[in-house]
Amino acid sequence: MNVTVLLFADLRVAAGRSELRLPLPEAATVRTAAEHLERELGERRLQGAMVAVNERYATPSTALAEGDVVAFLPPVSGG
Amino acid sequence: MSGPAAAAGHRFEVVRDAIDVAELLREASAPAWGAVASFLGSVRSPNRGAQVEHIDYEGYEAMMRAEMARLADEVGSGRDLGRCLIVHRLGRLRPGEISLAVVVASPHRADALLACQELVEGLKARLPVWKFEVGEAGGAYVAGRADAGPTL
Repeated sequence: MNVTVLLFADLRVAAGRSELRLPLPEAATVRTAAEHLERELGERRLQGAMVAVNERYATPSTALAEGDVVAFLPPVSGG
Repeated sequence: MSGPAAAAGHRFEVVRDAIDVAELLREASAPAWGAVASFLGSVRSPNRGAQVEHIDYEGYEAMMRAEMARLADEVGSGRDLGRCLIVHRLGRLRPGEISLAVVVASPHRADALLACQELVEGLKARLPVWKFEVGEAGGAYVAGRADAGPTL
């Protein structure tokens, strides 16, 4: 399957882009996506980040489906 | 927008220009709503002892609006809220400029005041927003919170 990955703040800066398409094996979870993304970017920077799937906070074990939007969110500081 | 929050005439917005507080207060005014509580958050300087030149706010806009609506539903549950207006500004803000406005109208002050505070606390913890603060010594991302969900 393919998912769309969104990156923000220092993750975006480190990756040099804010969005990419990530191919994943079937039955992938958020954790699978994180592992593949770290391989794709060649660095382990996702530790400590939260994750949202389709604009909702998710957990590492959340199952992914074709076309999902997976956003990696560094600790937030709104307001 | 969908769900009960949209039906109630609430407003959940992400903007790039100055927030019009007077307009928000007008929208929160109706004879039935005897109590209006508001919170305005602005860029602080000095921050942690250092002068701030500006802050660049970055956000995941679609999720910001979704979280505002979800939070308003949660906070409004069991309360009599007439109107709930939340506006967050993104982009470059100078000290003193308003980054967040929360206005809650209710028939009763306890509902308005408590809901306003719970909204502000929830927004600070959950809105996917990041601040790059620039001062005399250069710029850095402001240390954030990871309370809203499990981390990797």
